[in-house]
Amino acid sequence: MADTKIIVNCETGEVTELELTAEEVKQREADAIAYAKAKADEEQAAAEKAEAKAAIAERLGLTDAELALLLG
Amino acid sequence: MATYIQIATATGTGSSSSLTFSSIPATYTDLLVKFSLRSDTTGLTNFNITVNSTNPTQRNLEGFSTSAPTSDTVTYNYAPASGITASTYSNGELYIPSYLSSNSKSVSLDNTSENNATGSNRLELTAKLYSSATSAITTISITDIYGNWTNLSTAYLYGISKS
Repeated sequence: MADTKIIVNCETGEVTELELTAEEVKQREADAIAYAKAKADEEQAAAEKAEAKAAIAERLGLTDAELALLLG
Repeated sequence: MATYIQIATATGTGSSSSLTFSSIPATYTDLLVKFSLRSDTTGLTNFNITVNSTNPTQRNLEGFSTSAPTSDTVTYNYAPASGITASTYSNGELYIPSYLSSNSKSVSLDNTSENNATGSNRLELTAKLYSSATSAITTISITDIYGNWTNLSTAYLYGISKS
């Protein structure tokens, strides 16, 4: 069965279930790809930041706990 | 004193990825959507909320398990799906102040994605900006990006009047 959408008309109370249009299906697929990319990009940026922080801590001779304390 | 009037209810069917409120009347001051959502996809799903068919930009503050809260700007939120403890839901609400305004709409969302497993619950606080929604809001859609909303998923739309 094709994916559908539920539409509740707030003026009439009528509820309809319609098949997604080709455009809506395409948009949904694009949204999924865009989400995965955005999340991956943010996770990579966070990982790179953590790595840079660890490198600085190592140069300063600080433990993770000491660094966390400093950064509050 | 504010008055809350229930305008409409949308319920999942198990085959629908989107719950939409259309023809929202212009008779209130603010709108509130309270939702309880679960997807039929595997693991977690992500959902997006559009108003007048426009997407938001948003900032999320997210707390997961025992990790320190994180912040991101992805335009989706989380809901449980088939890999998560049965009968658990994403419970939350979307508050839309001044929905009749001709300015962009700033909207707040809070959401918990339940999972009855130790350290697996998730909390999200989100600030959304619908910069393209510069007319009165007449349509709100909650769309499951990866699956369909189960038949116990619900969304309730309320109109809020000043008195």
